[in-house]
Amino acid sequence: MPHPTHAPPKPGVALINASDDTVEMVQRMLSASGIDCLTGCHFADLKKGNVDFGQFIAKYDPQVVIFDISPPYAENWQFFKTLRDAKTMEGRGLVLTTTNKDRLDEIVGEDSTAIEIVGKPYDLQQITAAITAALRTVATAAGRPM
Amino acid sequence: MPSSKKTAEGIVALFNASDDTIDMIQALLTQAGGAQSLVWCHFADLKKGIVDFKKYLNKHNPEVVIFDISPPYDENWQFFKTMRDADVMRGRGSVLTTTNKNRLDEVLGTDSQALEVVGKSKDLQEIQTAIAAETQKANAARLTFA
Repeated sequence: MPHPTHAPPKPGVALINASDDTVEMVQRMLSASGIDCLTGCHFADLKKGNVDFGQFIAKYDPQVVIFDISPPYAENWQFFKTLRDAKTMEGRGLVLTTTNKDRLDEIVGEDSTAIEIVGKPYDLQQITAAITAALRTVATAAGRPM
Repeated sequence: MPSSKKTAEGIVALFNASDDTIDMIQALLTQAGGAQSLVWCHFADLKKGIVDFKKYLNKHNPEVVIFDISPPYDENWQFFKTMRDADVMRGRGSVLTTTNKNRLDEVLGTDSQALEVVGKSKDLQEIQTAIAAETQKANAARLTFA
């Protein structure tokens, strides 16, 4: 009896951002790179409890989650850390973005490792490269080809 | 010729991408005594034509309009200028904000005169001061042309 064949899952990401403009820019860029943007939601909706993070991740099952940290940086950084450290993030990659890395790092008192979004080809390429690297890391850890 | 149409006393309109920033500005106006109330919509909804700028201002008739420029800076700056220069802005004050003034100025090649939003007391105080100054200017214009 032939074994059923399973195609490897198409790489998929979820976007958690505050700006619809940024979501659209990143979606376009991902689409051009052959990466599915499975879903997006507003960071503020997670903070307010309008969207449950655990249910959101379980529903879409993204391999990589892109978080954007916008003002107020101190408060959003603390909230981001609770999301990043949640059990539901285990086995998933993450990419962090912001519109002002200097201010974010200054306020949180550490190197956030965030990629700064300006909306120019250079920074959008950096984000694509970071997402591709995160997808590769996740795929390798799961022992499946990308 | 300046418009003689009276603006609604106590209304501030905010065009921003971030719900967090909208909440912060709302809190600022409340802390300032609650004499001004906020109406808002997402900047991207104006760009997409989901909200008509002229109709929106005619409907709410704000004294002051706060525009926020987020990435992509060049595209959003051009769109902001068409709104700032529209007839419907006559007799109203305006305040410009962004989350990264250095990058915005760098991309535009000019001083945007924007106030940087970080979410700390200092920058929020600057925004509050600018709203108060623009309100005074709008009121003075209204008295002049009434």
